[in-house]
Amino acid sequence: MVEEKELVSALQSDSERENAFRELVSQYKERLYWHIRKIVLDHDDTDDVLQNTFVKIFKNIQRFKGDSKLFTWMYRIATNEAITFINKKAKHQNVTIEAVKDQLISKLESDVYFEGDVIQLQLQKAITTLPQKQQLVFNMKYFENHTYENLSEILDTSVGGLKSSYHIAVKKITAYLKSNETF
Amino acid sequence: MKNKIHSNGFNTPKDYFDEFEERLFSKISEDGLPKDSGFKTPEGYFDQLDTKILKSVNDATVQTKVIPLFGKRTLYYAAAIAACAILVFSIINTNNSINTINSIEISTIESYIEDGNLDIDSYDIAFLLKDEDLNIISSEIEFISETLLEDYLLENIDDSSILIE
Repeated sequence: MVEEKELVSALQSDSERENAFRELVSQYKERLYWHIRKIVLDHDDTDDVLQNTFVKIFKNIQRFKGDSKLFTWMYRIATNEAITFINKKAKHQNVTIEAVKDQLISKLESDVYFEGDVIQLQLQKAITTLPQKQQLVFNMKYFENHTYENLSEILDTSVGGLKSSYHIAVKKITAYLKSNETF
Repeated sequence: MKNKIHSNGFNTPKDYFDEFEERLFSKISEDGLPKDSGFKTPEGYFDQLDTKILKSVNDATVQTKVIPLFGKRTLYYAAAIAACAILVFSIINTNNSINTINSIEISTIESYIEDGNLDIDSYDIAFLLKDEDLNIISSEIEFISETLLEDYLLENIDDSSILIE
């Protein structure tokens, strides 16, 4: 794995830009894919959002000043793209964001790319009932194993705030699973 | 309990023991949750992904070079046309209706943007601006005093949205 600083300066130089970008894509495609997938749930939608994310990264890399880590900056773009995607979908269908999320979750049952059992499906349903910020915190901490310090940089929230968000999320999810009697 | 009988120089973060139970119980309930999300991808998806991404990046960057839709000149023209249109309207209409038109326009534009109809985000805007413009914006932000910021937050933030979070 190439050091981040070297990668950034290569990305910002004209001659090495393309190769460096290839390296960046190969290093981060899977992590960003799974991050987006947890938000938009559907594989094809995730694919679209992921492409847009990398297009934005490529277009804006010259402006990356190194104030944050490269990967937290990319996660911020991916998060933003995924949330915007859901919001746009709601806007186009003229329904609420919650209604779009309900649609997506009900499609999961027949989704060929979702192989979760009953409990895994219930867990996804439980996550959908959380407010957006808690969903992000829970997914990123629980499934993606981010540290609170990284999350704090990506989501621009204090570590204390994130910890309490996470605990509230776990509590709500457990309560949801219990009340739906599959847990 | 503040006795120092067992004082050994070790210390804990503030509120560590107060929050301990909560963290412990959350850890225990978390252990019962499935560790895998259940999501899968089509076979070989990640192998072809690099090529796909590089292609869309190429397409997107070529497009922006060909169609400079937001060139500064175009914006000036658009602004000039808009200004002329407003001028014409203000001449045609009476004073009363000018106020209504103006107030409707601002609120409509605001709600249009707030509803997310404007298909453009901060990264798109940043892409259209030059580095100097961005520096000017960020230095202007630095000049905002804390009292001004507090006043703004007091007047404009909806308490209920914070409470929900």
